[in-house]
Amino acid sequence: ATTTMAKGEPTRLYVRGLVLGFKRARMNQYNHTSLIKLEGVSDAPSTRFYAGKKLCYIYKAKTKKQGTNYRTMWGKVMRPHGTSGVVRAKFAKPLPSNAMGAKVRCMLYPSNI
Amino acid sequence: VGCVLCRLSRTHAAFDSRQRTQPTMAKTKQAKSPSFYPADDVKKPLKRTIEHKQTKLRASIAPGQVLILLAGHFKGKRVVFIKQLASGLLLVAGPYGVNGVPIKRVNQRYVIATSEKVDVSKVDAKKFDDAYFKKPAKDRTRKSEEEFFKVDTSKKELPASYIADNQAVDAALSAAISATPYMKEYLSTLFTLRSGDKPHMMKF
Repeated sequence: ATTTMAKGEPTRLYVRGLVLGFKRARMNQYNHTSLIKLEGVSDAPSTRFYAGKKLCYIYKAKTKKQGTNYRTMWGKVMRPHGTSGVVRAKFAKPLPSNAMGAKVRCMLYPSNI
Repeated sequence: VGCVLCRLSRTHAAFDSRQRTQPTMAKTKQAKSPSFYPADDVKKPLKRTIEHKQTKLRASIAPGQVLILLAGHFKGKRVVFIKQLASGLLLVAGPYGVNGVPIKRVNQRYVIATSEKVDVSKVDAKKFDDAYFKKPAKDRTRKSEEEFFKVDTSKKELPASYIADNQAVDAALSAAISATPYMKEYLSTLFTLRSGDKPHMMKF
């Protein structure tokens, strides 16, 4: 449940991210590691802040589990990928292929500030 | 043939040395000798000598610091840090009267420290320790069939001492909070990220 401010605006305590795909070479793909583009992060030194932060991929399913149709897959930011702020992530179970292009939430914990 | 002989001598030597290391049983004849000797040496587990230290408090967190809670029911709330408990968890209060956060424990890793501070010298935090927050142990005795399926519909009342403790902390902090302009409003406001916000560049 999201906490609400006085005006009814939900508060966001995560950084928005996009799943770009999986770690890959031209012909081989390594599904155990996903590539995530975090909003506002455009170079490798900036990604240092996000190393180790928890990632949450949220998706909907038909049946209700624990009272909700929303389900989560948790992972974490591992290391930078390249020089433009993309980040490598590992999820508890590899992300499904339909997650490519989907949104992911990069939480601000475990915090180091 | 020579091989067999040397093998025999080796086993004899091993047997010999084993005889020499067996001895403690023979020496303590005063104690009642056990009726069962295990065929092989029984290994005794080593004593655990690990003593966990209290988690190191981050340099940015000092008593009185305003912290932002990042997870849990109170995520986004700005709270006042009172002291670190023996377990390493942080003792934190809204205070309850200001933003609805009671005295609670919070892990350092789920908190962002801001540069704002409140004077907590008047707060008596001696009674708050990990035992205070420990949930009562569940009743694990075997239940009868009726008891197992019974649904408890009675409303759980907060213990009066808990409410009193919170009010005491509120009172101790209220003077310090009203001393700084806008501190009360600051503590009542939730933290949120907005479009264009970059946490890695923010100064908290």
